[in-house]
Amino acid sequence: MNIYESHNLLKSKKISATELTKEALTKAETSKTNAIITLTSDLALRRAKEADKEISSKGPKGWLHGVPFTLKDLFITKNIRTTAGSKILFNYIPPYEGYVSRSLSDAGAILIGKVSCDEFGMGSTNENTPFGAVKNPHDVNHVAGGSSGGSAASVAEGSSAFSMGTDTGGSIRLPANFCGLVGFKPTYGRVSRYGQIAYGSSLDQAGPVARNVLDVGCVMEAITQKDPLDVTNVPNKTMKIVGALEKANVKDLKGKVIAYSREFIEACDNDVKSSLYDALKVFESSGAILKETSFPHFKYSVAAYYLIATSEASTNLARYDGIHFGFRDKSMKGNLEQTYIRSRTEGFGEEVRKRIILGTFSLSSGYQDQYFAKACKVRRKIYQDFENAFLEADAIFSPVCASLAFKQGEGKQDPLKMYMNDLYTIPVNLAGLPGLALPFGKHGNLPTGFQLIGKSFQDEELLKLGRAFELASKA
Amino acid sequence: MKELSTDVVKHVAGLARLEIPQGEEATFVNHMNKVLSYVELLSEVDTKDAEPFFSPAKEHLEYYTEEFATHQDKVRPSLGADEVLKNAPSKQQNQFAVEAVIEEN
Amino acid sequence: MNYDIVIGLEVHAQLSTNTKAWCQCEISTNAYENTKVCEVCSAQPGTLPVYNKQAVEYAIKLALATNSEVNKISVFDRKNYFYPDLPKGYQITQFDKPVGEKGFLEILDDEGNVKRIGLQRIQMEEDTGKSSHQGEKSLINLNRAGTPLLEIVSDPDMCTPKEASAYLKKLHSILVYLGICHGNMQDGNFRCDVNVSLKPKGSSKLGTRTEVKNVNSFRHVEMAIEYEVQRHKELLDSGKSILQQTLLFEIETRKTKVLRTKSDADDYRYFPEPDLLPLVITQEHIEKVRSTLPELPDAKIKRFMDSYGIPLYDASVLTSEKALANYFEESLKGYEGEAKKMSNWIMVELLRYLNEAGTSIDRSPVKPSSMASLLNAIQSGKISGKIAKDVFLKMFDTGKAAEAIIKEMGLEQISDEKALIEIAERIVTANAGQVEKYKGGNERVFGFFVGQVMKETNGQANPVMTAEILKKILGQ
Repeated sequence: MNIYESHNLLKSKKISATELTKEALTKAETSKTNAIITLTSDLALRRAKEADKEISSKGPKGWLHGVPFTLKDLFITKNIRTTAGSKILFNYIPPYEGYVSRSLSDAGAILIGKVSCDEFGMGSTNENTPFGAVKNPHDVNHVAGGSSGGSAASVAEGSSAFSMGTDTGGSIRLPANFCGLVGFKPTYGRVSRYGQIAYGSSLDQAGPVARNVLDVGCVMEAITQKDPLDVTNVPNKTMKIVGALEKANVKDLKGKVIAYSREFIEACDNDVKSSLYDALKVFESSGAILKETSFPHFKYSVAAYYLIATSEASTNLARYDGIHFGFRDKSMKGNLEQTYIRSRTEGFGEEVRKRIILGTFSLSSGYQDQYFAKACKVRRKIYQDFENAFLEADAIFSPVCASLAFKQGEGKQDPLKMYMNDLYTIPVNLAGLPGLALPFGKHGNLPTGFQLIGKSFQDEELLKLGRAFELASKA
Repeated sequence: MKELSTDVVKHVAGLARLEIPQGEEATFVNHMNKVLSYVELLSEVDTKDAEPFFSPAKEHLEYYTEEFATHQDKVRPSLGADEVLKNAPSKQQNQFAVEAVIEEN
Repeated sequence: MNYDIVIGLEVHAQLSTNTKAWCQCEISTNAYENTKVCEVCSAQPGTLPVYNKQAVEYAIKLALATNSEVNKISVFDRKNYFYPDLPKGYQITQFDKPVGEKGFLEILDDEGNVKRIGLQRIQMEEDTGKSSHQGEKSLINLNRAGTPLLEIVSDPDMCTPKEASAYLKKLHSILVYLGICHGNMQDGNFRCDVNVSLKPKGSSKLGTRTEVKNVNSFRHVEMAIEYEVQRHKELLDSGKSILQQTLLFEIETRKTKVLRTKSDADDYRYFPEPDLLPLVITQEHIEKVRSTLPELPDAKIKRFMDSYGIPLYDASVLTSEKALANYFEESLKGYEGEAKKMSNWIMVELLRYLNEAGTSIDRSPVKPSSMASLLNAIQSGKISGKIAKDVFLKMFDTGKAAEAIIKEMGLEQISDEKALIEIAERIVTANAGQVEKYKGGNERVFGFFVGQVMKETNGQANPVMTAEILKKILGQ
């Protein structure tokens, strides 16, 4: 099930929204991946029926009309439970509608359910959640990746045509890569963050997980209107891209300069490495110009990221205090401080607590200059590495992750090593650039792929390149 | 850098209104120190001439206009007390309730 | 020992915008609990702040009106602390780059000389919700949460309680003149934190300061400072040290009590708010705002002195409130006499009665036009200054115009020469003995005749004419 083809079938009345929805719901109900936290079957069927009525009289109003999708449970959905994958929001029913949910619903897409993620987006395996680990549909002994693991698993197993994820340090691109899908993190500011539960505010960005670049384009058109409720959301940048993607051609790669670092590729596991070199060959044979480039500050990105993301998280997550909503420990009646401490300690999982404490430390007086402020300065250096590379390149090619999808439980042993898995995706968030994870090949059951990074606010150019590669790789 | 003591880690946890479960202190402090010794890597980078980079949006102010950065001073309907309070763990008389006497701030 | 007193003030002024700082909920002090609250001001997950355009304008206005530098790039920061009336767990405020810095305003010191008080910074921030006790519980109402505030921090330039209140009154009047704050202290529109410290006379080393929180009247500010100064003095004189504490002023006992002792535990972890862009304020924008500024108290004082010829003291009192200044100018419109006389009447009579009645100038029962007619009646000799006071009282009580009361009470001065001659002649004829005395050289008897004429006319005889007429008759 993909968007573009579903749309054409709906348009030519070869299939109905209700049929698509039922198929997705069946897949969801029989899923072995544990992707879904809250299934919204009744609502989905009702909306599908409405969509069918509208489509039969006027045809689909857009690419997504009548198309089933899922939302990472970090997206606020009015009156539909939204947990952030956390015990602290276990029963939270939002009193308002978030931007992404509203715009997709306006586009006529059918919400199948809210899908799992690492708690508050903190993790790269989708194991950090009280709702249970999400498994990789290609091999259930492996993780789907995180933090948007539920999104990737639900698309890969066919319980949705696409899913919306969020990406703070690779959380869309990594699970897409592990599940053989396309994952797109737009330029920071392209998609409103209103109604997206915050982890690291200067890094967070919503984007789609889908089966191909054309489908990504279909989703992007629906979620890039200016939202006045997020001031960091850019005005006048509503995407119009599907037409260009339809026209995309292998020849578009000709003369395009693709920068890459051999060092990064060499650092990957062998199975990943060979797939990366193969992908480079596709570019080269299509006439693209490969250019070895160095990114001297990327090796600091994980350290900078963990200080910045956790610092922001430490204050973003202060609102979960057991007073206004969410979990409250009621054992310490009469003592406000203990109510705070018990509610938060009980309500948050271990990884979240660790990150909040690290972030609090990084911002605390006497340490802020050495940690948070220093990290922000290094962030500048990383940004400048990109600027330098883009002086001579149209896009940057890099791994998404040095390894294939991890085995379940593998990450528990050495958290620091787990953090290092985000080495290639993190710089993109630090600089706020668009990053596109593309699937390419498989090793055994497990998919492989790579990442293309574009210039700020040139998301359209990046998607066109991605589409051209897709065509080239099939040629 | 000097290793953080259990007391410092506990103090920081307290600032965040978190507690390190009993018996886990050592593991936790060890984790913190491991992460901090890793981020020590940053001190290698010469950042004398680097302005701190706080947010990509702040690097691209040319895309933003004041019109969109602020809201008009026109009243919009609020949610209503029922909606505001519907997720409150405890409420009374249309207010959030806390079982503790707190000083007015 | 003798000490220098060092006073610095932090004022929180609620802006009189229609809507809150980060959302478009209505600002209302009397709405039912939690009915002026949305997802943003209740800090629901996923919400983001968008700053109020009008509040930016207001902040720039105050910066300009207080001679402050307006920062071209002004940045919001998060101040992190946990409190149930602060649902986000942080307050959005300004730390490094506030909207205004390095301003000043001028007050009259205790000797009546002009003194300049520095304004360190003007920063934009937000108010918290309100909590109240209900037995063992606390209840939280978020209607006030997110109301835009300006925090105005003075330099520690004040040396006496009176200077502190003079500064506050000046700042208060500027805020109200600008129309950016309702200024109602009872409602908490204008709240003050007082910092006090003492140092040995002439020393440059500052002493440990204490902070008295949320004092909500000018008089209480003076009392709180007086109390703290005395307390510091006694401690220092007996060789004890001052603890850096945050205090509350208790109105009943007129004493301060300790709220908390400052410690290292206060760690607000300020950092730039990633959800907001820096406010870029162009020179053009600043000039546009400047052109909308009304005449401010200082300019008004100068103009009143120059064009009405009233002294500095009068001008300062009359401009202390915008409504009072308007009243004064309005009353001068229909008045033909000297402005100083009007100033006296307003400052001495009107303000006293308003104060006694507990009402304000804009609710004065005596309208400016009535004030003008009253003074005109004195000027033209229609009534005497003494009788005018009775007339004024009647005007104040009934709200009627001066002329009506003068007529009603038959108070019009008798300036009819013929009538006065007739009365005077009658009295002279009836008191032959006194006439003898007068003619014999006893000049004091003249007063007797004036008194008799007044008695006869219920005090309405024109005193100047009466004297002239009597002199004439008695001189024959």
